[in-house]
Amino acid sequence: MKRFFAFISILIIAFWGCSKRENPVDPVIPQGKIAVGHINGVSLSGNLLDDPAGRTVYIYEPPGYVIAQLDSYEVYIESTFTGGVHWDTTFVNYVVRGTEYPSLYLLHGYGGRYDYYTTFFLIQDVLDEMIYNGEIEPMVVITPNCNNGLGGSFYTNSPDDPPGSGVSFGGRYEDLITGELITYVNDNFNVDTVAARRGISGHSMGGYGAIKLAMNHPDLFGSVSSMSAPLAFAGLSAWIGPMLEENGLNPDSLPDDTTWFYSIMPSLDKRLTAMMFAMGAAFSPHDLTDPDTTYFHRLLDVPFLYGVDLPFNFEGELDTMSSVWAGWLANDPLTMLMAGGHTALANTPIYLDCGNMDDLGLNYQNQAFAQALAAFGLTYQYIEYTGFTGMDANHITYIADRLRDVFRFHSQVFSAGE
Amino acid sequence: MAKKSIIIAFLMVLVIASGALGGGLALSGIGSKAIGMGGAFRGLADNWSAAYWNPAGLAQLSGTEINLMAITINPLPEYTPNILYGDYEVGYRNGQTRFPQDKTHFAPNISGFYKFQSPQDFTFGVAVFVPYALGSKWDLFKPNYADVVAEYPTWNHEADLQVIDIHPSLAKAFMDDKLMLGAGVSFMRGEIDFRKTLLSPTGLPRPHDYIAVDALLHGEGWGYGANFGLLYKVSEKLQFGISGKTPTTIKLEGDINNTLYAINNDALYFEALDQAQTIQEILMLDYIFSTPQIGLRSWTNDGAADLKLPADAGIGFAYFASEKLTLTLDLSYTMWSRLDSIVLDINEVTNGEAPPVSNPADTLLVIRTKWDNTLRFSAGGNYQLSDPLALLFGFYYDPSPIPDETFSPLFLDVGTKYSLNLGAAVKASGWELGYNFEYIYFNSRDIPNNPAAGSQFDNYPGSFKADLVANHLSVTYRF
Repeated sequence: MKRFFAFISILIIAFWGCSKRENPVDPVIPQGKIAVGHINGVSLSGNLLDDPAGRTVYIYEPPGYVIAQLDSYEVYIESTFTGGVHWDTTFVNYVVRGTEYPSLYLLHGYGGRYDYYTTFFLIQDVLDEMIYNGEIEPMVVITPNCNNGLGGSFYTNSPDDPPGSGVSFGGRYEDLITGELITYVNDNFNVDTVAARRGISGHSMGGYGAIKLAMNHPDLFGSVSSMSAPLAFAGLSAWIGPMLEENGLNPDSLPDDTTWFYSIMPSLDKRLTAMMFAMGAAFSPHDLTDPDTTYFHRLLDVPFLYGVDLPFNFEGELDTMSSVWAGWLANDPLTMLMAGGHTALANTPIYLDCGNMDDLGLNYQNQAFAQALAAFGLTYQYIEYTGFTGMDANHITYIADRLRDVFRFHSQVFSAGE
Repeated sequence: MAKKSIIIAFLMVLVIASGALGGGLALSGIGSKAIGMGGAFRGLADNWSAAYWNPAGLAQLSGTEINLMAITINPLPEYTPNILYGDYEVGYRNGQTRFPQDKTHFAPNISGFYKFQSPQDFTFGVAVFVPYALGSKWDLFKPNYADVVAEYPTWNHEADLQVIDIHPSLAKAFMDDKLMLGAGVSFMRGEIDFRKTLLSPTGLPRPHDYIAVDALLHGEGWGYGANFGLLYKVSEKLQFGISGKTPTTIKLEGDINNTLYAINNDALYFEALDQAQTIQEILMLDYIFSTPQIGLRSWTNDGAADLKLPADAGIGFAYFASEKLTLTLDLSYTMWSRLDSIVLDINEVTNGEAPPVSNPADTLLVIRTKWDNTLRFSAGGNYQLSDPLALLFGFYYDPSPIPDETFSPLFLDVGTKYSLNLGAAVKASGWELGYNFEYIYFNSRDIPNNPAAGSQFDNYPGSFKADLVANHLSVTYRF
């Protein structure tokens, strides 16, 4: 018997350690869905840039999202006789809402479209994962399309041209977002319509739009964030030199005549130039009836003054004394904040970030804006992040990572507003 | 016919042999008795395994000796990665405790020694053993771009190395058997498979900033070395041995199979194409973006490398405390610093579709190792419980030669090792059956993330733990 126990003991010892250990299995993360929506874009119709009014919008529906339930409906049938047998029918739906999700309006950057975040930064996967991990609460994320023929609308109601004509030069994108889009989403998706449960965010031009719309519509948005956005236009003076270089000019030695000034034209390969023209279309389109062409830059070779005014002069410097610049300052987030925006944002949590090596120097603009927020005692956080050797934190490199912080920020505000 | 079958079966076993433990790449040692005594065997060296520990000891063999030995090894490492580039995730399974593909590794040894009697009075024979081995496969990586088409390999980090030493030895006694000298020659056959993920920068925004390349290196080759030893009987109670071995370089030749896991994202492709400034950038974009039908880009390079194995030297003592009890002690110094780097000579592409830009052919890839020399201390004993039965016990302390700056989970030598060895040997009419159980505890190791790390890194930050269980079984026939 002793020998038997000894033998068994030796076997146990010998095979100790032979058991197989298993690695954690990758979780099967429930996937949300990207719904494709469409808004008619009445706010854009008739714009002089001839951009289409109808706009596609992506709407991320989180896992478990329940489509608005149809409770009952009535059908009105008008027996209008229009030259043949024709019935106009109108369906009136009574909707029973299930979970009402918070919503985040995520605005794309310059050159982007509704698929900016899904294509480049794969946000559907990021959102699925963060929701699964409990890092954020399930939310509906709306990514509209506010691109235009110049690459971006700056989410601005472009002035009428001529003034008072009722015809917007570039279209009324602010109205598109704050009016048509929100109404469309409220009507067609299970979203909470309380402002505290609605946020707005964006990258670059989108971040600019988010801050601006939040200041102009504090009743609509309970939280706002921006990533690498132009927030202090005084910093735009740093763009003019590189813009001139894009056009083959040496900013330190400009030609004596002024033909160079008027030869500057936007194109796809001149990104900074195109962006300045896009801002011109949003903030300072040239009055078609104004013969003063001091700041005028033509968009098309047509016999009338179809174009934009840009706020720099023949010396290649920002002309801060010009009326054009005044038009830009009216849309400058820092100026808006100082003028009364701080009151509008008094109860709105704010998140800003920017890379410390931003190509456009926007980190300095964000620093200035953050300082102003601090001076007004507003609730905000500003993160100036860094990259690493071989990959600087420039204007776009780390947006996929920053979006995680943005989602966390809004989720926390949404939870508090529940 | 029956003998032939046995030989074939043995050769097959030899081919699949692999192990894992010990200082750097080395196993704890050779021979169940020697390991049972914690490897404190240089001063005793009284059986066939003296060919490894101290060839002078072979002169003590009283006759012809044939030995078969099998080692089973179960390493139990675990690794919790924390690999970031800067502060950013790049696809490693950070924060999860990972285990390698657990399996029992097997390392056989065989030897035969013949004692030439008077007037020649010397011992000659050949031992075939596995002095160096490691093997581990890990699942540590998954591309963090979700629009990759093909499934990434599960076991994406791998090191499988074995060195078989065909080792003829000669030993002779002098001065009425008080002094013994011995030497051996190593014909080492090495074979290595090494796999890891290479991250190649794309210039695209995250999460597409790096594209994953699964690189698998296979090499085989020969190297030659020698060992030597001295054994001196100071008195009836005490003897000591000094032995060492030369460095060996195994010339490996083989190939490197590379597989790039392409991105399937048309919108991103066209946007990137818009931004491309040069023809090289366009060509590279065409290469790293793919369609669901293709998904992978594969190519093979010829390659060559030198595997530099260390010299060592040591001294051991044996004290015959009584007729029944023998105590031993060893100190050995291994010059692992010879393995300061592995230089991989990457030659022409022999197969597949290489990247159109930065083709790595005709380049040298330096894998930094920067290992340190180590000093191992071993102590052991042999107690003759009865006439046929002896009990063995031992211990060793052996620091890891691998510094933090080059440590990776592929080498299982996590930290300083403390072994506990218990064994027994039974003799019956010329036969001896030996068994030894070995447990090794490794000091755990935490490697901090290197904030300056870029696209290349030499170590794997995170937390490591390990222990190991091994069994040694031997059969010896003396006649």
